Amino acid sequence: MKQIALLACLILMLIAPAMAAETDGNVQVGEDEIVAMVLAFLSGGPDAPDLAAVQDAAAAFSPAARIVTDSSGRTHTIDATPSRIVVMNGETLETLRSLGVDPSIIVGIDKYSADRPSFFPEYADTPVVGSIWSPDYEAIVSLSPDAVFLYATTSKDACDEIQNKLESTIPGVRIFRFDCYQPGTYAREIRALGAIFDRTAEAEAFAVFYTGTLETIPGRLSGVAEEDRAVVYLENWKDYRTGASSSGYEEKIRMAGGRNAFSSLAAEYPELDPEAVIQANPDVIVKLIGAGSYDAGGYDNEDAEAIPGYYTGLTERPGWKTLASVKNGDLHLLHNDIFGGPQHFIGIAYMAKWCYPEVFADIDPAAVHRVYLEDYQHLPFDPAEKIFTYP
Amino acid sequence: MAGLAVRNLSYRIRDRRILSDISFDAGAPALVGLVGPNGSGKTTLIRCIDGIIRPEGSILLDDTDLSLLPRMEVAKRVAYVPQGIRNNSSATVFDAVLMGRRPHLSWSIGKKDEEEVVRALELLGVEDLAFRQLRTLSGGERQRVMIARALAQESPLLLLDEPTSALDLRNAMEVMELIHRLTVDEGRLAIMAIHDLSLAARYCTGIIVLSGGTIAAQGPPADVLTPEVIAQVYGVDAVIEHRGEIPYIFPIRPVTKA
Amino acid sequence: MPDPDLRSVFAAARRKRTLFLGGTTLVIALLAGVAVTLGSADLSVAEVYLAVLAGLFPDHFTASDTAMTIVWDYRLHRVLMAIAAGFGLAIAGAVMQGILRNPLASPFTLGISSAAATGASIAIVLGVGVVGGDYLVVGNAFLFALLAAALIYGMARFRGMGAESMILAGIALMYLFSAVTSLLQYVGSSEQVQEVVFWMFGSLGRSDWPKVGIIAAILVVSTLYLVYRAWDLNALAEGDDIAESLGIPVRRSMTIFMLISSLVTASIICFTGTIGFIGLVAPHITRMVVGTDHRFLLPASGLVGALLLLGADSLARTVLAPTILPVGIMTAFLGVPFFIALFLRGRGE
Repeated sequence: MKQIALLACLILMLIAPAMAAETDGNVQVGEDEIVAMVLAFLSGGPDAPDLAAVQDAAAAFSPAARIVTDSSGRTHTIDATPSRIVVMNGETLETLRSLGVDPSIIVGIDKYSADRPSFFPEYADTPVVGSIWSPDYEAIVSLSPDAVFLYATTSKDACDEIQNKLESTIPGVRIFRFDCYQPGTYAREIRALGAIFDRTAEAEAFAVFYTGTLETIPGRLSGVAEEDRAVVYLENWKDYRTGASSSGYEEKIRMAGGRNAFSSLAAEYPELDPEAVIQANPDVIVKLIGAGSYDAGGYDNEDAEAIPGYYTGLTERPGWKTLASVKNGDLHLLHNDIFGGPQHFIGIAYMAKWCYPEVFADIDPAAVHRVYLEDYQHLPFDPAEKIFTYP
Repeated sequence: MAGLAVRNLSYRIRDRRILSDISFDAGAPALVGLVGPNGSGKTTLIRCIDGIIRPEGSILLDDTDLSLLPRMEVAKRVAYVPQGIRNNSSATVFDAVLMGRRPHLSWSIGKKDEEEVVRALELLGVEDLAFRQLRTLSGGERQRVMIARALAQESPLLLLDEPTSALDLRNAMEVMELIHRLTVDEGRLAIMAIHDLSLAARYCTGIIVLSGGTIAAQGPPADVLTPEVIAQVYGVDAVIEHRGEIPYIFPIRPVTKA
Repeated sequence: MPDPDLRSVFAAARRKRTLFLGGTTLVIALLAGVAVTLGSADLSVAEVYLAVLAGLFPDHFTASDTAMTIVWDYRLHRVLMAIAAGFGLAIAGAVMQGILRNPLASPFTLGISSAAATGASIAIVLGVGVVGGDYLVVGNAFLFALLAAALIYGMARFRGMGAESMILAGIALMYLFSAVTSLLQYVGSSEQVQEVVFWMFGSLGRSDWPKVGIIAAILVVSTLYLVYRAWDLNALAEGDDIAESLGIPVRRSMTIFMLISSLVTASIICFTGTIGFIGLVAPHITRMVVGTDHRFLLPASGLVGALLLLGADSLARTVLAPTILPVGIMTAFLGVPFFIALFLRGRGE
């Protein structure tokens, strides 16, 4: 009902400017007032205001235009919430769900999101528009979107090209650039998206939930000196590939309160000499799974039986039985579903707990995960039924 | 009738003298044989006359100094049949001979050009091969086509570089008969580098012997191709015999150093 | 007296050439008409043509906004780009084969394409280039392509190398530049590698009206000049000495021809990425029908090249619809049967 009223409101606003010239524009009318007036007008009755009165009110109604800055630094002035959007990255799609955005306004998704029907069941019938690397322009144009969402810093050149192409061919389309997976910017992005879709309250709640989980970590570790922090070796699903100082891995290890064992190496994601791990003898070893030859577990829950085998495979690497982390049970497998995307805060929480079990004894990352899935994602999974960490 | 006068022609690459002070005359009708050992400068001399390389000295053709003319004008006066022919060309015989018309051609082919090509093909006896591809021809046929191209150029002076070297016994004879007819019988002037001395002695009207970049001897074959000259220039003892009118030069043994 | 048989054969050859030129032009037009209707947007054939007409004669025809956008902003310039790029690559290949006297010469075998890929990689991985901003990759690719051409030409002319040696030099350059590209891929992030690889596939998806305009302008000027100088090309194709003796300034001509064909190639592949085989296959096919006279071989090769690339792109867009395959992959596949056919033909000789 409220939507119909707002629609009538907008229609009246088209007529209103003609009236406005004769109206004294000092009176400010709020949104709730105008909605009430229009509803009353539509339902008729003895107390109903006449059309002229409603038009006067419409002329005086000025919803505050929202000004939002996206993650590429561009500012957008939004007076109307986008109603036909194409989302080309799954991270943004997931975040929109946390904000409770109506799925029906999403008219096109990328093919990687379409390949995850168990995670995005409400978009099972949504048209697919290719991917960032091979966008299906004709499909996008045919959907007549008023907004398109792309990455901000990932695949920047490809996204820039898509942005240029769409802006020059679809008149009036807005291109929003959001990554929605980087710890440094996610909180701000949540709030920006909330502003775009006029769901500021939901955005605020989710942002608080997200930052709250992460902020407990440095809070409790404030007394621990740098050199006493746990040394962590984070290995990608590609054997012996880790992240150095400029990588996202390092950032997340720091946020978990640890120190990256291989921070000082040159390339962003170097491949290690196996002996280097033995030499470094880190306190905690985290092996990422979920792709490549370690593609098991996670939301898809495929090949879950293989996971214990991964673990033994690691312990059987030459020399690994002598490592402190292996002996002390500080070797863990972590699924990328809760590390690489918007759910990284869950993975970081696990890592913090593994690094400092006593300090974070009362924190239950699985519970955080459950709250995320139930209250924000509205997905029927119980994380306990799937494997995201091992052991 | 064409007349060629070369005066004091020299050619040098960096510090090496390839040709020194070459002077001679030749007038149509004539087939001048240019003989000499390998590296004596035969090909270089021919390329100088054709204007491919620019020497010192003067080259007068009918009193016009070729070295002063633009290339296209030289091409109208001098035609060149080079040594060794690319054998994988997929051009047809007609197109190859038509190429000889280049100095006279505007962009499209005129009737005259077609007629000249056909005439050249007929003169060389290869008109039946007109639309065959060059690479499908035998060595002898290809050589005739190259000569036909030079003829189509309609130039007063013909230069040939070792036209018979790659040919078998019969083809070599037939090509030499042909060249002899085109020059001596039909009034053209040709200078031909050749290293088969017997053929040179038999068919040429005049001989120039090159040795080490200079002219060792020049004149009618009987005067020039003598055992003394051959011994001096080639370092070979030879014997000259005649079968009827036809001279034959037989190498006997290399000259032993005294 | 010209032999009447000869004349009739000559006339027949001329007729064959005209028919071939006319025929290919017609097929290109038809194929273009089909290609414009291909795409993932749900437009009927009638809607597409209506949109084309509406764009050309806005006073007499109208079409929906979506149709206009799809046809004029996405499909039409892509089709024209395929025609222009195919034409250019084929002509460049024909000229290279002529002056190098080798039917295997092409922008690919001479390392020019590999050099362009290296230039693009340097721009993508190191972010360094001659022209900044949007044209970083394009500028580098263009420059490096010309650099390779200059190297080959330099090696050929000033060292007195023959045609076979030049091909070897070209292949050596190809390996050199490929090695550099590989090194850059090793050093780059996985994103940059993906971008380099995508660039090297060759694609017409990045075309737009200004690019089509630039390439068309370069093509018009180059083609006119090349056809005007076609006789010299014919002579050069026979041999340097012969060309020289026919009055053609060989060094200057070869420089100009090499420059023009490299320029045409570079200006195309800097926009489209490396598209192989067109420059090799089109002149070959054309030579079999039209002969070696470059006055006809050049424009005819161009038309065949345009046809091949347009066909390849149309296939690339439909064979795995709605995924659009990069056209360079399709032309590579098309090259295989061609070479097999060539090989089998050659066995008879």
